[in-house]
Amino acid sequence: MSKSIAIIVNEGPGLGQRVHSAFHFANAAHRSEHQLIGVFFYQNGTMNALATLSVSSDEINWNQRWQNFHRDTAVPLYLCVSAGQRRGVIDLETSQNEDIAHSISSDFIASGLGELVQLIETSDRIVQF
Amino acid sequence: MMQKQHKSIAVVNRASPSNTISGRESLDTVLAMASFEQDVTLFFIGDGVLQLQSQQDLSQVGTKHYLATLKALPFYDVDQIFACSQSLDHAGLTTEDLIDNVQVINPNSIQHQLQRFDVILGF
Repeated sequence: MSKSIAIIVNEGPGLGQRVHSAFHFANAAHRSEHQLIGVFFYQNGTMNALATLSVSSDEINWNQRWQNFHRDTAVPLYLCVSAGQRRGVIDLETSQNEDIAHSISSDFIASGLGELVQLIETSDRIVQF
Repeated sequence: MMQKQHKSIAVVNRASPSNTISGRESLDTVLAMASFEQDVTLFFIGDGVLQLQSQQDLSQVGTKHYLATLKALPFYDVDQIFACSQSLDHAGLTTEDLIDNVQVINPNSIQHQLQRFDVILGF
């Protein structure tokens, strides 16, 4: 029976193995009979939203990978704005309100913990990385 | 159409209060869930038990203090808070060192309890 799955990513891009695992799990979940309903980026995971990553050519730019994933699958990518703000992960509204540089790529949805609660409530399974 | 389901949620805290802000970000998540009236139970294991010390001065650490919020959890209807007895022993702590409303249970009991939850999050 098909299940709905949501993913939480708590690790930053290139800072360990968890983002890699989350990304491949997300792809596998999307391709499977189950439905991946969203990916929520929290804690250091918010840094995956950064458009300002500078990554050498022999390493992976996870921001671009997540963007491409979203464009290929339409799976929503939710950014916890408050967790991001303290890490310099700045969405458009914050940048306008505080007159600081906007640093995220547009495929990420500025969101909050309320969205995480929604994902928990509506998914059959939530998988945390 | 996705239906909202009432879930029982366990949040397992393993981080010390000063090394990272995982404790604070875990608490933010707990408060969000409580405000949406989800059923949340907290577990503190390993270094996580250090977060429960009632006499903590984190003002020298430079991160946000959240001990007052931890102490106030029962006001948010989060009153099921468990600490691992073995982790407390390793940390040299007793129940008297902890904030109120903490139930101390052994690792087997924690493992047994966790099996009944729909969702388990770890910080």
